[in-house]
Amino acid sequence: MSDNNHSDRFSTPVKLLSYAEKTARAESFISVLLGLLQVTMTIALAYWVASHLHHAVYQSPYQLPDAESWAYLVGILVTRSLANFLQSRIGNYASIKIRNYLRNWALERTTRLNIRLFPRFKVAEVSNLLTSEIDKQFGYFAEYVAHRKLAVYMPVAVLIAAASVNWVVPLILLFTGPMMVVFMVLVGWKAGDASRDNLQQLNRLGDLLTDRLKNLQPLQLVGTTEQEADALFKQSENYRRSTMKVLRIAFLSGTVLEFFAAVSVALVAVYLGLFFLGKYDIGSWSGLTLFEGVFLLMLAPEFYAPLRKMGALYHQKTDAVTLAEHLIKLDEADAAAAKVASSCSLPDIQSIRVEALISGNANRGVHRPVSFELNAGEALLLKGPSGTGKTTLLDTLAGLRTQVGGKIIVNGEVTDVFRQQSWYRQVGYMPQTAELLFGSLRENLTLGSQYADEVLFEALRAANAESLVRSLPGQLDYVISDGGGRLSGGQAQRIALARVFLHQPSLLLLDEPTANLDEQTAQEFMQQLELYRRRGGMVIMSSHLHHKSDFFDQVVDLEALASVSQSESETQAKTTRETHSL
Amino acid sequence: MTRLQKHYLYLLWRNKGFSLLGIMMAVITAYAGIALVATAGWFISAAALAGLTAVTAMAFNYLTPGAIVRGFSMARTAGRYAERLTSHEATFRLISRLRSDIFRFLASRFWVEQPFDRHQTGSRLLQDIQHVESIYLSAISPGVVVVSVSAGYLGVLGYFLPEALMIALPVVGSVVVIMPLLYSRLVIQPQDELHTLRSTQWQTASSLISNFRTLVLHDRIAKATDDLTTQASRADGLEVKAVNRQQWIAFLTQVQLVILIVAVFYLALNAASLQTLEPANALMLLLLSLGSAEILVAACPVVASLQLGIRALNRLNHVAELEAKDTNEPRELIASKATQSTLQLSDLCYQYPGQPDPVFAHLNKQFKGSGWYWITGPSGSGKSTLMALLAGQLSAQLGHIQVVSADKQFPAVMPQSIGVLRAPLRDNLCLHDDYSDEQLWQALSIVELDQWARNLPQGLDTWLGDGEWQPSGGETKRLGLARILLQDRGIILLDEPSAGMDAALAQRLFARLAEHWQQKLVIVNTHQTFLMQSDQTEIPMSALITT
Repeated sequence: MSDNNHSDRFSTPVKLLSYAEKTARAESFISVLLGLLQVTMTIALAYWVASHLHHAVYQSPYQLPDAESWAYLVGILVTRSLANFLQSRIGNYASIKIRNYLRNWALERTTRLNIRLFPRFKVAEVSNLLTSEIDKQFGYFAEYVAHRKLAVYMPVAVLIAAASVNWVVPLILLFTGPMMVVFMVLVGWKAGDASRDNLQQLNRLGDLLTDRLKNLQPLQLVGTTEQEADALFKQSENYRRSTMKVLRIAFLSGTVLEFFAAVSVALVAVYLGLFFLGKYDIGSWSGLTLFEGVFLLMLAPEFYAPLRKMGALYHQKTDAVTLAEHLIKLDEADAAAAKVASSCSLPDIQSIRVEALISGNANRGVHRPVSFELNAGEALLLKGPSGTGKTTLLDTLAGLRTQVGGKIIVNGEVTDVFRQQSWYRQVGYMPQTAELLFGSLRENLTLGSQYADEVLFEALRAANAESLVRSLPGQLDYVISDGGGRLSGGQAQRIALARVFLHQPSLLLLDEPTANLDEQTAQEFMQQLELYRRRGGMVIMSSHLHHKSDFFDQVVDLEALASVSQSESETQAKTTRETHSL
Repeated sequence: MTRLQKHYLYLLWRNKGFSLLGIMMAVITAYAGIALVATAGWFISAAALAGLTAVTAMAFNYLTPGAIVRGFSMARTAGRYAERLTSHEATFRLISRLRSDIFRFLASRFWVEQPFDRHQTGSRLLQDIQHVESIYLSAISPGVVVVSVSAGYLGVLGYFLPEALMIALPVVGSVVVIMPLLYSRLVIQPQDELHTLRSTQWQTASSLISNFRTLVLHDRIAKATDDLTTQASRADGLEVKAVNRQQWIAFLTQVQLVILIVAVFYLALNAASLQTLEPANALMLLLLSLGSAEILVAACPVVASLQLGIRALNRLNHVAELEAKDTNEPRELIASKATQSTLQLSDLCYQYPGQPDPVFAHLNKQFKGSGWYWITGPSGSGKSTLMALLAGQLSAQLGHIQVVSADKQFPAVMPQSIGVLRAPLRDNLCLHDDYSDEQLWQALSIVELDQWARNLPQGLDTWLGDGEWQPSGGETKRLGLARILLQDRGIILLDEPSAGMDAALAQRLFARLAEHWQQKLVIVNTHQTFLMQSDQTEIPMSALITT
């Protein structure tokens, strides 16, 4: 799996799923065996009941079955339950194995791809993909996978058992069985559409909720929160209706399966009843006694039971296919991504010269070539409206992306900085929202290296964040939860800046670091940044706002490639709204 | 009982038609299913017995039992379909209602002193709230079914084979009462842990993805992915532990039911041999027991589902802090026929909870008539706190605020950060009030956003906000001003309205607004006093506090 060159990437979701299922082949095999054991026990039960009942009716004087017979009955019933129990256990472990495999598979691609560089993969979507989407396939890998086979084997076993005493009943079963399968395929086909619509409604509701909870204030101040709650109720009802649509199809398929099963069981019963009453005499190998009658009647519903269970589990397949579709998207992006360069050790940065550099996606530049030169202690402002590729350029300079054209010259030598650890070590990066990990403040600052607390506080002081940290519960051990916890945007940026002071990168790249801050906080941030620069750091900062130019030694205007800019940013805006999920 | 639990019961009561119908359907379906199996069994054996002699075969009425079997079979199939539809419909309706009611409550408070976790609240209201459905779907409805099936089964058994009750009573009691309690004891705790682990796992994943650049540059990706995999494996292990326990209890239950079935069969055959029971009825009782056992197995998770549902309610209750006291409007609105507006602050004291010193104590001030008041002062001097008090977002510990306004409305407030809703520009301006396009364009042109709006891909219908068209900082401020212009109230409060705008534009704008709002009482918080017009008043915060 680690070879990334196989050109036949998974063409369908089902192929991907069955590939993953192979990791638990042994479990799946045992599970099928246990399923067959269950059906054997069911047949044995029917046999036991039928023969003893037959004796009860025809034998006179009647004698109760002996102790051995009763032991058989208990044995049959307990074995059946036990096989069922063991089957679920095995399924559970298979499910863990397969999901682990898928998770690693997805993680490998996510990291190799540097997924963050692809704005079309949203953070929440990828997080969901890596966690809940895979997690919730528990049932699919635990039950469905084995059941897919059992839904064929078990009815066949029942059919063989029935055929041993009579040939009309197996025929009745054999004719109604395929009808159910055809119907299930039809239903599954329609269910796909409905569940896609359902997912869309759920995403809409989620977006609405998140947004309105975040932007509650304007509505509160105008006093129209009641209307908003009504709007939310409406969307919630839309979601309910689309969910019910999915469920109606699912329930209907269950009902039809049950209906077919009931009709054919009734057919069997009527056939047997009339046979007993001597209305006709066909179908039986050697007459028909109560034994055959009860045996067949007890088996008939067992023929349909596996199919019905399969119908009940079918929704798991729909979910699993959706997951696989998302994984394939990831895999495709990974296939298109550039390959890892061989690593070499780069010198400490003294100066950087950039000549006609173009950055972009997959050999397609997004901006006009830029050129500049930067020495220690200098700062450069990268200016340009949104959508001109400022972030793409910064990512390229950081070595996260391959360059499309031009040269990066470090200390006078043309250098390929793409994916070089020795380059990464010298580069700091601060995006619009501070990148703070879910972990303690200490972990956030040290990022795996060892530093004494005094050193950490010194860095925090330089970033004007010392008093802030001292006021937090637990200070350096304060855990930053999702979304920065109690920290405001400005505070989070200061922590991120403290990280810069701590690691002292030679080159600091900042992507609109003040866009989310209010004026005053932004000014303070720039003052602290000045300190970094005075210590000899190189700064490249992008912004679409005007900045007081006294901070920067040079300003570079970034221009989008005319043909691309508008249409690209527009399609981008559109796609985000139409496809909320992956 | 928490507030939300009460509200849930209230909603259930309000929905009682649907809810009761669902339960009734479930009971009918279960009965029909069992009766179907039992009657069919009886029919077969009776027919076989009748077929023994030609005379009985002729006399045997096979049409009526056949019709009964068909009737039960149809009833079961149709009943199950209808039951599932009604019970799901009932629950989802209730959840829709619950969701918007919780939002209503959240929105009724300003959350300035104590912000709430919006991300968590959002995911709870979206997904976690669905766990509430288990109260009705997996606890109440199956609970009623199990109890009525047990009663019916024991009744029939008591009628045909009273001696079987000796074993049936304790087994049914154990399966319906003891096993569900055991199940909930064993399963709830790992479930709870699993819930926490899964949400930590999500946070780790989200942290990994959103901090990608930092992690790559610091060579921490491998460590972060390891962490995530470890967490996922732990959660998976716990999940399996919980499921294993569930299946273990289910197995125990099944063994008990096996004992019951074998015993019933033994006793029935015995009774048949003693000729105290018709042989056909013996088969009927056996199939009845098998059918009932299938339904009784479903009793196991009932208590646990109830608890899980209640826990989900409590989580919601907690995240929305529903136990907190409702806040009343802290300001007093006095309707007056006079055209003059007054904002009277008397003896106002405010202190943030947990802070040692009050922001200000005994603040008195009257703003009267029309005109602009610019409140100035360094940050931290309490300007924003004062604004929040005037806006009704904070409530003073002492003193009061009286608003006298000819339009009988509280002031229009422009806060420091303008929330841009993910919605069309039109909705962002109207905020659920009705304004004509003409009014919207007029307001936009006053704040010089008309050209900008015309250039948007769909004009007034262009979506703004996260993931959509994102206005710049200065544009956002002007959008906020346009909202205030539309609201057209007698008193206007502006908190740092010009931050992020370029100076020339701000100057033009505020000159125009001064003209437009001549008849209004306007109070502005600002750093930028150069925007003040000559006939407007500056009030330093320091002067306010000392008076």
